[in-house]
Amino acid sequence: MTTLHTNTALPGVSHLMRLVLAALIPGTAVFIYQTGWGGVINLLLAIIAAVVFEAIAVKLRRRSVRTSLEDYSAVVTGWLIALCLPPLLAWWLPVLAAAFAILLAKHLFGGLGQNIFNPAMAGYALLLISYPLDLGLWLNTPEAFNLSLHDSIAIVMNGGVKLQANWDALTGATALDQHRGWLLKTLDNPTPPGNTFGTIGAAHSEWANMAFLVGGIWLWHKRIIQWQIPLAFIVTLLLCTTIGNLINPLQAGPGFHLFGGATMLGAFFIATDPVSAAASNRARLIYAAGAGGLVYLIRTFGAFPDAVAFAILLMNCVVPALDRMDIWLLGRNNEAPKQ
Amino acid sequence: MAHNFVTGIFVVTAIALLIGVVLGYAASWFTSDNESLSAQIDRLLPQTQCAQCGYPGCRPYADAIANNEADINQCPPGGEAGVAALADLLGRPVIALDPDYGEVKPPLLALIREDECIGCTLCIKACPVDAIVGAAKLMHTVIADQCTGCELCLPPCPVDCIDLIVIADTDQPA
Amino acid sequence: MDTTAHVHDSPSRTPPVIDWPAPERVCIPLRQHQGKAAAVIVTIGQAVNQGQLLTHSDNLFEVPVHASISGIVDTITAQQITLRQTPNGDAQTGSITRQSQQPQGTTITTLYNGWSRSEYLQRIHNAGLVGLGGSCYPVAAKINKLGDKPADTLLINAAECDPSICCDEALLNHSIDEIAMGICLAQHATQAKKTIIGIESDKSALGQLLLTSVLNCCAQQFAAHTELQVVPASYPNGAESLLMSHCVGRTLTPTDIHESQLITFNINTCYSLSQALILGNPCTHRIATIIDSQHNRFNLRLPLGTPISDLIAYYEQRRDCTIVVGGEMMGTEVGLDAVVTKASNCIQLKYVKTQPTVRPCVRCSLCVDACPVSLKPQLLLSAASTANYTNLQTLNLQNCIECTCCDRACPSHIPLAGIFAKSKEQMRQDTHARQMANLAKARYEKRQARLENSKQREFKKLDKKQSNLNQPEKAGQQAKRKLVEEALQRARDKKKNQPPANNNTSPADGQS
Repeated sequence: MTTLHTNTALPGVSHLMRLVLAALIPGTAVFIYQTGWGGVINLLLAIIAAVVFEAIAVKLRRRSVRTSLEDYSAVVTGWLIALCLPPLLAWWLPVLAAAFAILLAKHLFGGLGQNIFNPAMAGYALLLISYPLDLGLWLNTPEAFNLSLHDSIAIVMNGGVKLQANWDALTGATALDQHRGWLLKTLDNPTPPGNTFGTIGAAHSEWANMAFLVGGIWLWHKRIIQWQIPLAFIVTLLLCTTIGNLINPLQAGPGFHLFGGATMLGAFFIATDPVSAAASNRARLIYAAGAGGLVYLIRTFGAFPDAVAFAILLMNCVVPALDRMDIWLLGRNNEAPKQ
Repeated sequence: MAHNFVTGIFVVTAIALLIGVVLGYAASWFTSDNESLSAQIDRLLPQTQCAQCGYPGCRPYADAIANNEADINQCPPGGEAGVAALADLLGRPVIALDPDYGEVKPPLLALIREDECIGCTLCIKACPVDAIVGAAKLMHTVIADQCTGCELCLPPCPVDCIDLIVIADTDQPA
Repeated sequence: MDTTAHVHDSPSRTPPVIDWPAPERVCIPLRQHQGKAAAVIVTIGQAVNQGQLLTHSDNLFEVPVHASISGIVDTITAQQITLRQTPNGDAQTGSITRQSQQPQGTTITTLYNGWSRSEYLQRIHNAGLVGLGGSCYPVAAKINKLGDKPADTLLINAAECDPSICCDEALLNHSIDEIAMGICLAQHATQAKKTIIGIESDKSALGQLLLTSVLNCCAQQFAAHTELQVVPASYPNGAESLLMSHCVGRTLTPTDIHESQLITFNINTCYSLSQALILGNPCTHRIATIIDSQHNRFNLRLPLGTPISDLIAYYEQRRDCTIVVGGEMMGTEVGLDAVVTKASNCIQLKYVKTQPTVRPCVRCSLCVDACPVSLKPQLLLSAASTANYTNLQTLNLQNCIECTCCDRACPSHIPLAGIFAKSKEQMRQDTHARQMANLAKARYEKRQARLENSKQREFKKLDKKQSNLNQPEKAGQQAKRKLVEEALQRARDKKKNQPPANNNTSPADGQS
């Protein structure tokens, strides 16, 4: 009874991507529960746009459209973009992000497997830099989620929620915005950001984070992702925030950072994108630790409210160097005399 | 306003100068100085010593490239891969081989038809890598393992008894 | 992770070895081993007996081939010799040429005590023995590599190299004593300090039997150092480097083994060894597992050179099947005109399956987890695609055993092992070209130096001549010259002082 060294089942790339999508479902459910129809519209817009632009790009490159749509990578990209966006944005913002992600970040670099940057985060970062006001508008009162589908579509088609509009009452800065503002003492709010479960963030992001954590652990259990990246990411963030909090109690504590913003989504679903992550386990530890540290730095001292996207994009730049370092270390080990 | 304007120009210029100095030093510090440029170029050349490039051997050609006297596309035995390697080393764009200097051929081997050889020793003198042995008025032969297929022995032979054969692929299975 | 490959059945269901009848025609490739072909020594139309040498060479890497049937030589090309059975010539074709007739009653002990290593090498070489595990490395050359020294470890590979193959096991069931005798001969030929029989855990009982059998017939000095090692039954533990690593307890790469005094023989090779050296039957047949398109398996003892189309005709209704030689994992597709060679340990007949679409590498590193020799296939792939030989070297491409585990793990279905095999060959050629270039460069530089030197010498000679002319003359010479000049001067003076009339006298004197 000779067994194979490896699993004989042949999981294809599309199979892997489908599992990733399945793992995203719990987090997405919480996201939709919290954002209402606005979230659903974002998801549909981003996914459809991503798939359409993928088809166009592949067609232009004279490759098989079917083969490349079958791998579900465009769906994953669109889905991840939508999960980062606040609800009730103007319709063309998710579409723009998807177009940038698929056309520029992915296909201009040579398509699947060649892109240096995580396409979803590149698309999101574009919006974050270009439309910071719109992306800061997370509705923070429960009434806002009770908008009907019809009303939601009307808002989305008419330019989305604007700060200047009557929606002022419904909108507010994100929890992370508050945190930074609070540190900079520009906000009047005198209470430090919540640090215990149930009080984090305006949109109660701890629930979404918990759901992404569950999905991520399932993904690890299915051996689709390795433990190195999420663990290094989370541990580094935990260490940085604990030390920061001890030195300066005005800084948010680890609970806030781990369950606020897109931490778990980033740790399990975005940083683990194999194409733009480092190739070997040793390099992955460094890559993810770097991303975790950058998240802390950007959230605490940076000008943008969301740090995960920038942290991962910055570490994506370092990946080629990490890969080279890995080969160099291997070469040095080879040279070392054998016992 | 004017003051800010001047400050801006001053600061940017200072930064540019600083970076320039650092880059300049870095360029000289981080180049491998254990080997001269022409030696590095020479290492990439195929060492057939065929002189097709217009220089008497690979090293002279390497010197010429290093001194910007010759272009990198004059070496047919090196082929496109050779040009690419040189372009990579010198940070230049990859260009096509110049057909004036000959065309790419498969690896060749000179073979003397020994019964026709009159023992004139002219080919021995022509061989750049001493791969032909023989004595005056006696038959000559090519040391197959050492022949680079440079074709330099063909013109001097008075009886045209040297053939170039294509080296068959070694039939060693991987 | 430990998914059982269902192609492998329980040991009790291993099919027995069946003799395949001598075919009408055989087509014997001259090169069935790693190395060059030996020189042909038969002519067209010549009648040959089974076991007769068809080619001959004294080079251990040019292994001779033998006639696998009795008949006449039909055609000879640079690659192969075809033989056909003569019609109704049974009496003539029945005999078998034995290479070395051993007198009756020779025991194995008297036999192997009598031979030196060079005698062993000669006999093994002439019997056309190559590694029958699949490597086809000439056995004599393998032993010769040890030099005059004994082997540190002789490893008997009784582990199946591929999960779909069962010919090793069938052979163990079929002729365990012949294998044991072959092992004893191998011990003597290599003077092994230690012998290890490596077998997979599912066949440990057979391993025990083999060990007992070896201990019964081997010499005293070897018996004390012969042992059995059971390795986990998981692919690719039958690969030489992995089995050796398991058995000697440290990680060894193929290069390590090549450079050390470790030597491996497959049990198929041991069987042929005893057949050749004791009975004088050269390597004319081999045992192979045949897998038909319905996944039924048969173990056949096939004459070398049997056309695979004969097997298709017997086992399949349809003729359009694909032939894969080698196992499920490492097999390669061959054409319909292929024949059985010393390398054919397994012949699979299948109908074409649609190949999964090959997608680009997404660097998921599932291949890294799959690799049994701890390589990083995803980094190797990027180095191979840019032909970066430095990186390929650093990433230890040479340690790849081409087991195709990474192919199976790859979600993009990239044929990694095939790419690596090609890269290895390219790297070998590149290294060779570089070495040749360095040699040519060295010779060129020496020649330049020599030419320069002789030019210098020429110059020196010239200089010497020149300076000789300019040198101040020696005192003696000066004095002589002075005397000569003085004499001349005197003579001129005389002429001047003499009256011109006297000048005319001399011709007159002459006339008188």
